[in-house]
Amino acid sequence: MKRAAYLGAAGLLAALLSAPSAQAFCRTTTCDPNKPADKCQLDANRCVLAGKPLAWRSSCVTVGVQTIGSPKNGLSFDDVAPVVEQAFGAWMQADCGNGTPSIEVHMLGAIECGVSEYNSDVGNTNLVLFREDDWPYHGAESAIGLTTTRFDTKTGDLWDADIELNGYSARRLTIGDPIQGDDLLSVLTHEAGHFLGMSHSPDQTATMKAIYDPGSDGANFRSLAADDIAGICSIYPPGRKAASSSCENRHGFSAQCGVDQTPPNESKGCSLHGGAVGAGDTPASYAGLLAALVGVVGVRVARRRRIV
Amino acid sequence: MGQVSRRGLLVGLASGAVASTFSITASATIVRALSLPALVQGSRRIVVVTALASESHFEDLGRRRRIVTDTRVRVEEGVAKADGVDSELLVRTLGGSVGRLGERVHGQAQLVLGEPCVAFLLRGPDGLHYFNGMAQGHYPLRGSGATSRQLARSGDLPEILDFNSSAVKALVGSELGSAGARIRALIAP
Repeated sequence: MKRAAYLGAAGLLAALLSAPSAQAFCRTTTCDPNKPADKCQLDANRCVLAGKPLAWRSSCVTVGVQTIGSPKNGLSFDDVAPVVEQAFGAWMQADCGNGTPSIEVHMLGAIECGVSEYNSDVGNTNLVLFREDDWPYHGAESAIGLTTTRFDTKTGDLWDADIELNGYSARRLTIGDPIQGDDLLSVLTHEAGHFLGMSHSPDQTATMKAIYDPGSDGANFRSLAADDIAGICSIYPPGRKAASSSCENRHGFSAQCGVDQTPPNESKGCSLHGGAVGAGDTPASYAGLLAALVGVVGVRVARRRRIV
Repeated sequence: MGQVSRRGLLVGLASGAVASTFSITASATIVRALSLPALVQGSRRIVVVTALASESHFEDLGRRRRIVTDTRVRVEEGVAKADGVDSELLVRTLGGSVGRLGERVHGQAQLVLGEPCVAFLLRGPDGLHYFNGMAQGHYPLRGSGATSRQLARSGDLPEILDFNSSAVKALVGSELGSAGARIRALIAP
């Protein structure tokens, strides 16, 4: 009996050692470090310890790219979309030892809406966009990429994510030429990690590290390090029993901005409606109910490409 | 309308009906390094401040509403460009929470109530103060005493390109007195 226990313990240890071993990665949690009163507790690696870790609870999530691409960088939608696909693909193809992460990111087509927003009562889309007319964040003019994710503070469920790229005040973003500008694929691979729930890592070999020197790192952010793989496999372990397999956005999908969608009180029929996000977010349940009713009809998800 | 309209709509929408209405947002950032001279010259005020209180609300930014947090800080001492500075300032950071909805921005200065820090501040067109370079303009002070306090790295520093030339590398670990002297030396008489 005792011997069996030792064998079991040895087996467990061996399994742990054979899995991606680096554990420096940090996960984003529901704790709000930007709110002084929250006093989010950090560990020695400056990972937030408090709160619930964020993750997409479904096994499927979608992402689209703004139709216009980046005229300033000379990049069309057709240039940008494959890079986005490649960036997410790096995470989806991570080798967890016993499979790949239990989440699929599907590419949508071109998205008309060109702003990062979350609509509490109409359709949403997870979006990659370039901001070229303005960069309205005072003191953040040196930012190159900014990812915003929205999530449920009760559960840590990710609901929405957008990646904004600074085409206004940042240096040129390039594809395949990290010397002449900042490498779009490297930036997007890092931001895709945040999109999926990863935070910064103190591991200096990781794509999710906080410091990146183009001179020495080159295009290294394009591929994942062991620490990144350990992180994504921890969030989405192979065989995870996901809450859903739906690829649907919260409050439904829409390629249009919230202001271009019909508000609920102007509805003529059974559809999703909207407005911009509000403090209470209380119309959500109403819209969700409408969505559920429509969903029963069984409308299918139209043409989508799986990234993997 | 783009190539995708509603075609992605509606598989498993029933889950939307029961989803929680509590939400918060988070962001991640990659920034280019601000050198110490650039940080100093671009800042309106360089002061030691302590956060006293904060409140979050929505603001229209970039044609969309975003949550911001306004933190009232007490000016403990001037490091540079502090002539005539008020005893208290209002400093705005991106993110926060309003009711059931929140927003967080990785790379923002993380002000902790009661914790002193060296703040490199801009003044926005709205009259409020902002950290220059987000967390690149925020250095919590560690230790105590006038001569032993050291500048530390901000809690959620963004990804920094060209770190070796950054103010963060130049300042973190420096004692406050010597850091102040270096900063003042960069300001033209």
